[in-house]
Amino acid sequence: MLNLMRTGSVIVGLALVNLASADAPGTRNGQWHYLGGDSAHTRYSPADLIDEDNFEDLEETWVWDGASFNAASGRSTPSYINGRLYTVAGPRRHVVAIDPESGETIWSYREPNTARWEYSMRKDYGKGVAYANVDGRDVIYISSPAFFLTALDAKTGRPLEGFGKKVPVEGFPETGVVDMLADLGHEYDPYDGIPLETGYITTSSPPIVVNGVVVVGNSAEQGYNQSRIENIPGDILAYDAKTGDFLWKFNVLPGPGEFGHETWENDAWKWTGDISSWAPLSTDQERGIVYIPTNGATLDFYGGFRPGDNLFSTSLIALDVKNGERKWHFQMVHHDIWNYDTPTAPVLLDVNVDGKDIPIVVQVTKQSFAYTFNRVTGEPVWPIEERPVPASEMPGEKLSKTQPFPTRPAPYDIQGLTHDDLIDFTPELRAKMIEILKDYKIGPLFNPPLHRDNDQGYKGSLWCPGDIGGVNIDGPAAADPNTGILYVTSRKHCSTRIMAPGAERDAILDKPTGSTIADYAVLSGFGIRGPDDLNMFKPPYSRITAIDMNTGEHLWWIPVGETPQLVLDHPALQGLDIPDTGTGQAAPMAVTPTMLMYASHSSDGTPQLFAVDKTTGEQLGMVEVPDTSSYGMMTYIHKGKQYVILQTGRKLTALALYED
Amino acid sequence: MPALLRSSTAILLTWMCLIAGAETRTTNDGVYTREQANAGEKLYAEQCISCHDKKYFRPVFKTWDGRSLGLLFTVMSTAMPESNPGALPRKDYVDILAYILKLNRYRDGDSELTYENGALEEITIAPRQR
Amino acid sequence: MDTADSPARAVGEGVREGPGTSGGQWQYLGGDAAHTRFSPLDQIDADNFEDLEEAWLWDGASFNAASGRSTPSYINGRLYTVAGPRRYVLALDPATGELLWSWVEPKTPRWEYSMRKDYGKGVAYAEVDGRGVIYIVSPAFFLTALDAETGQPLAGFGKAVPIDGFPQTGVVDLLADLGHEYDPYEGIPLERGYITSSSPPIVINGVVVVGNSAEQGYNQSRIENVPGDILAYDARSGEFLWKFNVIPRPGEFGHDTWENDAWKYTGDVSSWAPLAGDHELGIVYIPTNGATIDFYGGFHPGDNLFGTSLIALDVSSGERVWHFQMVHHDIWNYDTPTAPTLMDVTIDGKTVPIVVQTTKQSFAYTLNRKTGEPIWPIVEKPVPASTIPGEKLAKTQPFPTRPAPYDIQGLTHDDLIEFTPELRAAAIDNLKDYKIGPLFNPPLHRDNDEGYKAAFWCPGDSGGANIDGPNAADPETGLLFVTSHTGCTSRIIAPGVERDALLDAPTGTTFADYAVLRPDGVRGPDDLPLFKPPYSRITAIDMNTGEHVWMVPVGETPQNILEHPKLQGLEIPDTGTGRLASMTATKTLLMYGSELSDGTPALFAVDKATGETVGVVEVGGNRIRYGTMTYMHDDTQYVILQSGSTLTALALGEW
Repeated sequence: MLNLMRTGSVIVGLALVNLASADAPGTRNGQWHYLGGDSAHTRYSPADLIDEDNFEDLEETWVWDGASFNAASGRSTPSYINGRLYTVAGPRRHVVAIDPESGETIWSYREPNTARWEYSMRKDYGKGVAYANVDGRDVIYISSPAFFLTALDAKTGRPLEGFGKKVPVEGFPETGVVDMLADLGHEYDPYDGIPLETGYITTSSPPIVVNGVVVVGNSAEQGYNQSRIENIPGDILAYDAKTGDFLWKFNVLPGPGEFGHETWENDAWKWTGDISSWAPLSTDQERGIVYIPTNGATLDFYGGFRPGDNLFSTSLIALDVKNGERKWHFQMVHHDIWNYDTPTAPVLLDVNVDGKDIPIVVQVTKQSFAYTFNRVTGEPVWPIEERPVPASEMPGEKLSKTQPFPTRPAPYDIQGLTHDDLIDFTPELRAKMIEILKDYKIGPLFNPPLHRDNDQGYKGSLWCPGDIGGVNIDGPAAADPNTGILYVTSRKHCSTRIMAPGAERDAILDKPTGSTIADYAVLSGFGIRGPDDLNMFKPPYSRITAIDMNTGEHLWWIPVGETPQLVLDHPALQGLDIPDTGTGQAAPMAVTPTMLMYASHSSDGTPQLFAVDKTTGEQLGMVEVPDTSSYGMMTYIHKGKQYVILQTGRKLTALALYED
Repeated sequence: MPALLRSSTAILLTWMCLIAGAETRTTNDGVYTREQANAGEKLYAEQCISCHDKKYFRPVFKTWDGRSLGLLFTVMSTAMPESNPGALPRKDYVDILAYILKLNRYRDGDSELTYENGALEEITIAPRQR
Repeated sequence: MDTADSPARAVGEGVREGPGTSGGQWQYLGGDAAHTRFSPLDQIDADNFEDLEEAWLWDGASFNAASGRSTPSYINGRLYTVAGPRRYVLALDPATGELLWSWVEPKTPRWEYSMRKDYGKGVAYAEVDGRGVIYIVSPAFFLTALDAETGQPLAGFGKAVPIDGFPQTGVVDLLADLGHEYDPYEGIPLERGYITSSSPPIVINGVVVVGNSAEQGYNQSRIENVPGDILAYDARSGEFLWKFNVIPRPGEFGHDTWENDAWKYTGDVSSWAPLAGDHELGIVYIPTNGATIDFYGGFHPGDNLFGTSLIALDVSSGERVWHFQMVHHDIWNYDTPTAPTLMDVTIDGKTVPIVVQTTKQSFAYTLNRKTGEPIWPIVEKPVPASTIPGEKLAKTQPFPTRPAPYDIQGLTHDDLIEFTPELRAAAIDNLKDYKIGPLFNPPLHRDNDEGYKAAFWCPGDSGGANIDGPNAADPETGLLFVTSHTGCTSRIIAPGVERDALLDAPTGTTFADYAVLRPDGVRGPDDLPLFKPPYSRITAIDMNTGEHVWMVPVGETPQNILEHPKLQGLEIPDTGTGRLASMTATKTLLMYGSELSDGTPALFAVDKATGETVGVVEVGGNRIRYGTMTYMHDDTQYVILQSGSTLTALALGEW
């Protein structure tokens, strides 16, 4: 009996090892292969050398300064793979290998200059690299602002032999590069790219490699900058990881005969575009599925020229990596005109709901919903209901009558706005805030934009959440695959825009894409300030919410960082009992067996790393760090030592435990 | 004879400790101010970093254990910077010295480090206490 | 037929004209192989000089660059340089400063030990079979050849190094050819010595000539070390060609200048300054360091050839063509700090090919570069003896009769600050514990009979001329521009065992009887310099005549002097900053980097004929050091300033 049991557990153990090599949620062996840790984007590492007891002994052990690459944004999370760090840096999106022990640059790769690179408005937004082992050799993949796919030998940084085709532009290597414009089906020039009248496509996330297939998402010009209705769709491309051979394309804007084609009225499918997938992609390696979170269609805040639900915009799409076939999809916002583009990779977890093991995918969003699905079937884990939403008053704009509302988990941050959401430290402050809001139309979630010369005499409408969430690019979710707890960082924010005839916008653009000016477009964007330099909302201004994905219940929430001095010392608040407000910024996070770590600030503005109890949200420790971080963080074990990497603007700051 | 020598050395050392008494401080005693170290950080970046990176002085302080800060000051203020030795005012060398102490993780304190009246001779380099 | 092996496939060096660069190129760190730091460009001139503005700034932070000790080369539309302690080789876009490629040698303990890591100075270049090749020597003492286009190790060059991470080709382990036991990873055992590099090699007529660098002699305590023998390799294959022994073995010329069998075990005589070369004569010029160790040579009596010498070698064979020892038995750390400068001048109506070596000791030794004969007499004159036990100095040293010294030599009270009698008196008082004297005033040991604390010799370690102020020259007029600094040095000399106790991992096995315990020195009164101004200067010397043409202080008088309480109401002449000038000469100007009174870095333009300042442009960032260079790219003339971790490119603005 005893023997039998032992044998049984060995078998289970083997199964786990297999799963590990297939990269189930959670990283292994101190590695951090994907920018999100694993291909499930949990940002979880089993590294436990840093714990509650020694946390405050963390100190800077090295700094990698990306100045030589003109790095500035800090958007890239390095990958730690087989004893090396790999990242991208700067507007050229140099690929860089870094010594994980010393922070020294090992090699760098630069794509030669092209006009199509120069136009990109996402140059310094590279978020990391993709990786695969091809025939025993480690290969690093990136997609560039100019929309080339490059495969590099991880050891040397040299373009991979036998990959792709020679690009007929001076300076390009003989091998290692695929010109992805060749596979999109538009006319283009290898140096200049696609004519701007047709549109523009670029990238801001790396591809992801699943079972030997490199899946490439893309990125478009910011929709809030645009004025013309034509553009190109952000079709998903896939390539062979070894040869760079083109495998398949998935049309995010379905043509005639394709599923979803009927969601495009007015023939807009013929000429409009975007529906890019600028957030990183996630995958279920075992099942061979890639999960693609999408953007809305051209352009933001006005879609009168493209009536219909506009599949597959603002959706989560699950594709079979073998053939690019759609396994399922879920559109989170129909006919999105709120810039509710999906800002972070979806997170995959294996949970147990009502006694049943379910492989889930959860997509956190700007709109403060965590949409949760069975990641194999696409069925909502908890009901998602279509509920009526307001109509638009803008001429020509036909919004969807309903939008999908998840019934669980509960929203993790503000949705819509009522006076009850406003600052209430004193009645005077509340009254001032109501006064400030009087020129703006407020309303529930999916409150539509208003044009400048609206009949109601408003300056514009104010919708909540706004452009920056809820969740946004700078605060990807983290999760503990062992407990099924999801950690979501979000902030309170609303947006308003002056919507005017598109010609007015067009007149201020240097090189607009497309040829036909939209009836309406954003003329200018602005936000609403609170009274007396205070935040317009009740606290918390930003928070971390822990959600048990086995039940969909919120376990706890905490404000991010400490209440800013500006609030504590505010003359209007003296003598009042001010709760912890949080800084108002999102928290870059990573999860380990011992803690949830996140970066933020103490009240005096000093950058700090915080350690939080994963089950209670209680603060376990706080340690001063050299610089402010954003967008993400990561951790790895190298030669028996655990490091935490903070993304600190142009630098990477490595922390490790103090050693004498 | 060697034994005798050794014991007289011991006596001498004891005597030296006695006369130095409470006035002898070590680098662990918060002998510089935060402001000095901040001023020294700027000077260090201008004058020193090109040859002495931020970890340069960690091993140096190990070998200088038991010597006075005054000696280090003499060396710095007459031999450095290499391109123009002794060119800085003494105050600048003291600020740089304060920053070097900070780099070696000695804690700051309320009293300023000063080169005047042989004060630096009265501060002994000692292994850092956590 | 294997065309790759055909002798018809030339190995060239690209631009070969010289002295002086051409075509807007700047191929060698010193501009040309003659190290004139001269460019015939004239887009920037006295009229538009002040329209210069920052075109781009490249920050070497990603490579931990700190020292600024590398002058980029501009070759066929690209800049190449080295940066940081790992001595990364880098290619930059000359129009934007954007990084094109980077290359780094894998890490080894023999690299780790190097005390010259961030001192790379630049790259070497040659064209091999039509392909541009960049050569560097690393702190770990490997020679690497890279394809200039891609930054990848050159195929068919060198041998595979048996260390994980090294490329299969492109690298030569230089230790293999020195003749000492070594481990490819660890290097030569420290008991035997240590060798490293702080300059690139130079390629002359298809031969890569490699100098070297030793541990700073003033840090050392033991008498054994490795001699800095000169090595040469085939530029295409990396094949070893020859070695020149800088400490002559029995039967070799100069062997008799080593008594006490010291040639068997002692070393150094390195050549850490860059090398110069004459392509037509096929000669490479090698300026050397003294022997192990600085400030005490009691264990190596004799003149110690080829210590502190200029050596001319035939590049095809490594045979010595001639040599000149500038300091016999050097114990002053008078290592030769910059590359010699080659010029063709007219003396008494005859064109003479000269080489001029400026030095810490403020002499510009001038020789016929073909024959080694002094252009003007250099006479042996008696110098003081040492009182350090065991130290036998040469009775005489060579004194050039012309050109005149360009900065202080020896010290008398008359050289001291004299703004007021009180300041002079204070300076004299500061000096009272130190023995002063003429040039070649020898070091004194701590327990000397005369009761001095130490000796104070002038010039000191920092020159005269030094590494951070290489000469410039105008090959068209024969003017040489020398920058120097007025300074003296003192060291506490004590039994070697005391120094040894301070060292973590000393080289050698036998303690020297004496060694430097620590630096010491004499400060001026009230935070003022000890000396009369100028504290640093540029001297223009007409090498056709050996006459000084003009002398100007470097940069502006520092604020702390102008505003010094003791100097108020006095007329203070321009003093210069005390630092050397980073110079480049062009058709139109002599440009140099220095500082304004308030310390702001600035580029100065000087009339070459008169020394008059004709323009000053403020530049951002850190102090400019070690060198400047200029090139023409896409019809724009750029000036590159080396400042700490950054390179700043200036070009004429659109005004």
